[in-house]
Amino acid sequence: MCILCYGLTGEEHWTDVRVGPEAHSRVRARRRRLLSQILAAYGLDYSDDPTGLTSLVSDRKGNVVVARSLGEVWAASEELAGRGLDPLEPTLLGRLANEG
Amino acid sequence: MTTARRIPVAIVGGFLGSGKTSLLRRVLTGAADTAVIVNEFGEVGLDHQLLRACEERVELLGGGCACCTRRADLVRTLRDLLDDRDRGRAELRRVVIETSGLADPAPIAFTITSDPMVRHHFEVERLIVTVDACNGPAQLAAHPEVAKQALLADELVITKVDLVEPEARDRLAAQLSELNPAATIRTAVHGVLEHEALRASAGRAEPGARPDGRAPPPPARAGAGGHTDDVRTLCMDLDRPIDWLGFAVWLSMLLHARGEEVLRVKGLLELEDGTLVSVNGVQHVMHTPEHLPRAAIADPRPGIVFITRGLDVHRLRDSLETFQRLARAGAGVSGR
Repeated sequence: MCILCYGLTGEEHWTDVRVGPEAHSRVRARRRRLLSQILAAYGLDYSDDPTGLTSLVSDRKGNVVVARSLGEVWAASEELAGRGLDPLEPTLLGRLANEG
Repeated sequence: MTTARRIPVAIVGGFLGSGKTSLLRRVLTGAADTAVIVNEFGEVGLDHQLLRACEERVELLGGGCACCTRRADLVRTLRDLLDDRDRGRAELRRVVIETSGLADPAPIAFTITSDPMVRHHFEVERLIVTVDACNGPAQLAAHPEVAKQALLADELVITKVDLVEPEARDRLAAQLSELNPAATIRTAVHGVLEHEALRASAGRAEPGARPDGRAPPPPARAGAGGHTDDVRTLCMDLDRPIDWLGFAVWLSMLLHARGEEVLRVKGLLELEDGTLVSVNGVQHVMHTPEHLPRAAIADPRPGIVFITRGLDVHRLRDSLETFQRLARAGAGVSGR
C-alpha cells in the first residue's frame, strides 16, 4: 500500500526488476518520456508519480485511468484508445522512427 | 534483481511413455529435500518421501487466453508444502512437477508467477520435456500437444536412445532443434542423463554446455512441418548492446498485444555496461530477468529466440530496432 495515498500497489511486473547500473530515478524519467511518446501516437497522455508506483493514462476528453504496473498501463491505454496497441503496427513504427 | 532465494520449480513434461518417470526416479535418488507433484499417485512408480498428488483443476482468468488459466490445485499443494517446511516436518529445497502426458505447461508457469503468495516463495526454474527416440517423430507429427510441449521447453531430453541408431537420434535432435532452437537437447538412457548436451540452446548459452555442439542460428526460419506449419522461429543475433528500458517496454507491449502468438521468448542480452541479462518467457508469462556472471557462460553470444504462431517474425526485428533507437535518444533525460 502506498503510504501517501493509501492506494493498493499493483503486483510487481517483470519490468520493475532492477536491471543494470542505471539509477532508479533516471530509469523512471526515461520510462516516462518513452511511454509518453508511444501513447501520444494513440492520442493519450502519460504521467506518473515520482515514486513510480502509480501511473495515469488520460485522453483528450478528460478521462483518466490509474495503472499500477506496466501491464496495467497497456490495458488502460487500450480502454481509453478504444483499440489495441500493437508495437508491430507500421503507422506506430513510422511515427516513432521520426521521433527517435 | 530479487534478493530472497525462492524455491526452484522444475516442470517435467512429455508424452505418455516417453520416459518422464525413469528420469524422475534417477533425479530423486538421494534427494529427500525435493518435493514431487504428480497428477495421481497410482500413475507413477515413484516411492518418494515428498510425493504429492493433485488432480488438475483449472480456473480460467483474464480474457480467456488458454495460457492464463490458474491451477487452483497446484496453489493449494505448493502452500501445503511450504506449511510442512515451516512446521519442520520436511526440508524443501526444490520442487518437481510432473505434468500429465498431454498437459499444456503454460498454465503451471502462469500459476506460479501470478499467485500473490506462491510467487514470493517459488520460481519456475526450467521446463524439461522428454521425447522418446523411437516414437517421438511420429508423436510430434500426430499430436499438437506434444509439439507445443517441445516448443515451450528449456531442455529437451531424448530418451531411449539405446533403442535407435545414432543417425535416427541425430535426425530427431535436428528436428527438435529446428522446432525449438531455444532449448538445450540432451539424451538419456534408462533415466540417466548424458553429461554433455547434444545441442546447446541458441537462445542462451547454458553454463557448462559444450560450445561445439551448438548449431549456428540462422536469421529467421520456419518451424517443422505438419501441424506446426504456422509456427515461425526467429533467432535474432544482437550485435550491439541493448538498452534495457527500451527492450522491456517493447517486449511487455508486444506480449500484451500478441501474447497468444508469441509462444516462447528466450535470450541473452548484453547491456551497454557489459552486463549480461537472461530473459525467458512462455506466452504472456515472463520469468524474472536474471543477471548472469560472464565467467559462468561457455559462449556468451547475445541473441534472442522468438517462437511464434501466425506472426510475421520479420516485423519483430524492425519493431525492436525502432524502440531501441527511441529509448537511446531519450538516454540524455535526467531523473527528477
